[in-house]
Amino acid sequence: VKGECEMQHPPYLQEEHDALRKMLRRFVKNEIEPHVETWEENGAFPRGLLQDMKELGLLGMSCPEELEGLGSDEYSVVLLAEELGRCGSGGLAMALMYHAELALAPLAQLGTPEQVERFFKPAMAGESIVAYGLYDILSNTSGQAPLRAVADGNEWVVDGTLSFVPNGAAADTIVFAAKTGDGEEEKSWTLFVTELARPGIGVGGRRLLAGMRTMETADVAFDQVRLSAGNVLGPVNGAFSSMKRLWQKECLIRSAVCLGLAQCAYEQAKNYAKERQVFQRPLSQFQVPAHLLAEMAVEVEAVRHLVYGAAYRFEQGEEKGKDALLARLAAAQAAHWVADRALQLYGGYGYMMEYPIQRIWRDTKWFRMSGGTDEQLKALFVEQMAC
Amino acid sequence: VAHWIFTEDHRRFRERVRQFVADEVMPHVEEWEQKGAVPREFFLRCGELGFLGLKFPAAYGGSEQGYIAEAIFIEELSKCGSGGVAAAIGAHANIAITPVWKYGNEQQKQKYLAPGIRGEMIAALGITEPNAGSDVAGMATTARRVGDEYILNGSKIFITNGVQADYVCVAAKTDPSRGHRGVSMFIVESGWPGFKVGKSLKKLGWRASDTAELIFEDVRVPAENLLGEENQGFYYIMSNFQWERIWLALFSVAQAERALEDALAFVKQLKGGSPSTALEGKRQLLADMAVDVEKARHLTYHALYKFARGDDAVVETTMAKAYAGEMVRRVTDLALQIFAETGYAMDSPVQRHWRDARIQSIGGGTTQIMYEILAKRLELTKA
Repeated sequence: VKGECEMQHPPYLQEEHDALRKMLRRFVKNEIEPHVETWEENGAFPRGLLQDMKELGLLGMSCPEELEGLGSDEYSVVLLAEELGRCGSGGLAMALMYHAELALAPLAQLGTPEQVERFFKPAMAGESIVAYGLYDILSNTSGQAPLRAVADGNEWVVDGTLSFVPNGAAADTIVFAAKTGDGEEEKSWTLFVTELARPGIGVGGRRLLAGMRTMETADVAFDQVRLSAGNVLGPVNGAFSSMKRLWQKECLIRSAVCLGLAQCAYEQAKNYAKERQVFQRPLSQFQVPAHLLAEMAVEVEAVRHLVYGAAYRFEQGEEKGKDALLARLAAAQAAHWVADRALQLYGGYGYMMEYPIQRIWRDTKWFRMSGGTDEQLKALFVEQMAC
Repeated sequence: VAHWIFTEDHRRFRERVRQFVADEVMPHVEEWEQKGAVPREFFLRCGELGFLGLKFPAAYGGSEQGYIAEAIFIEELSKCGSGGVAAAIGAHANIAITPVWKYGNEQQKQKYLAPGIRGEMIAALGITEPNAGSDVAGMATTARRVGDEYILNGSKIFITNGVQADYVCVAAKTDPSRGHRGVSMFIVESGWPGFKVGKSLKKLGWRASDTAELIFEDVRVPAENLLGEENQGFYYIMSNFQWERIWLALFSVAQAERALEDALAFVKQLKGGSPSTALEGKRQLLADMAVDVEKARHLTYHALYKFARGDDAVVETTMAKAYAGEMVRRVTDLALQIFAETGYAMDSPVQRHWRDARIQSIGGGTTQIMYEILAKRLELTKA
């Protein structure tokens, strides 16, 4: 039977994507995997890696070429996140993605020429790190805006505290959203960018988390911080649509990192089961572990195509907010489940800190809670179903 | 359903099928469920509208729209709320007449495929036996060559459309000494002497499709009814399994989607009379259902894409079947939970979604068989 030639093809079967994936895999294998354990122990953002990424064009990849980005599509961004996730450290993957994409993209898109010089270029060069102060705004269902900014003449006065800011303790700069109006939600948010070394900004110490240890998470407190018009990123009171798109992008990136982590956990478990001898046979030759591994592989593939499909619709502008959210929720659940089952296959060794599987188990849990729990995301999703 | 495999033409075709299902299927579901079969007129009507020949050549009355169009028809029909209706039509158009198209000769196609596409003849696929399910090589039915005929002896079980079928594509051993390499396929007409329908089997679900035990006692099958080459049957069966798995995966996704739609409408209706906080639990279940459906859908469309392209899609179709078959029972179970007693009453379609779904992780190879296949294909068991 001949193939159906008139059929549409997936956007991710293009040669450039294949080439990108190959390059990324080599990069992760050679430049990241050997150092993951050390970085995790240090708990510090590996600044040196930014230079390597910059040389490969992996910083601000989706930014336009005139700003020295690659002008990549969102699917390429998803590939980057997925391949970084395959290193087995969720903290490292997310720390890099928050800086390299989520913080850089709005600076490139909305920054004035002065802001590009002052904030974007050093970040793009890997010389400064940008903390991402928007990470839980839209999934925060408490109804409270963490930051408020009030106009005072030509200046803005910012007050409030951002909790658990990704890269907070490592960063030189921060991009954040503050409530600047009291009217409808869509017309009362403004984005800002500022150096963190400013009077009134207090960056708490690196918070020790159960997982995600390579990402330097910190609280950032604003006490009567005076910012100028040069710190306003994009239109005053007009940030909502950018925030929404960034939130969707963050959902996709998280889902892709989870996909990479899940793949990593599956492969580790598979290799372990083939090597581990039980009753004079490899563990994988028993039906129970073999079926479990098959089920894990199915779970990973289901999430893979969900994530890719969501990335495609996001790129096409067809995203209405449901697909990326669903991909994030599904991928986080699946990744944690696969990691948990992998840990189980390892038996007692899975519980030992010398085996990386316990880290994937710890890290994947973060994705099910941070910046919106599974339950909050489900509630948001059901609202999108008009219920 | 936004997905890149579908074109604008596909979207319009889906609308057409959806209208047909609403007008000509849904009003009859209860009656057909009670009767335990889909009437012949319905096969004829589907044939008349071209729904049975979507992937087949125009020379036999097909419309050559391909596998993806057939997938759309499967999905929309499976949303009618009766798994049995979709099973009866699917067992005929998707899996029983397909081998005649793929492996039959010109004369066989004119005689069996064309009337099958028109819905004038109803077909069934006869592979499973009382003592040989997914272990196809273990079948006991034999076809012994005598002159210009084969003498067929044995029995088949769980055969969808077995009662109504005009012909059955039967697998039998032509060389029992060669295991799976000794299996051949035949087109066997149900009117021939020695062809007996043992009994119509009563089932937990899929009640609008008839399911039978078939018994062959010295059935004289003319040699011209050998399908393809002698002793190649195992490969034909294995290749047919790919489309069967995609069919069942699509079927499951569509059934689950229907259960989700029903549950969503129910919760919306409850919202009118309850404080919103009282429904948070049910609303979370709706999200769980949606996540599960979408995972299965994307995995299944990926398998469909690979298969329709003509690639080796054993891993993908097996994964889709495994996931979707389990997913549909979780999702329909949650739907029933949301409806509670209302859904448990026999006049509610929700209990039928739930009963109908249960076969999907069994029929066409159990989930465990899918994992066996995957364990081999993914080289999990290889040292």
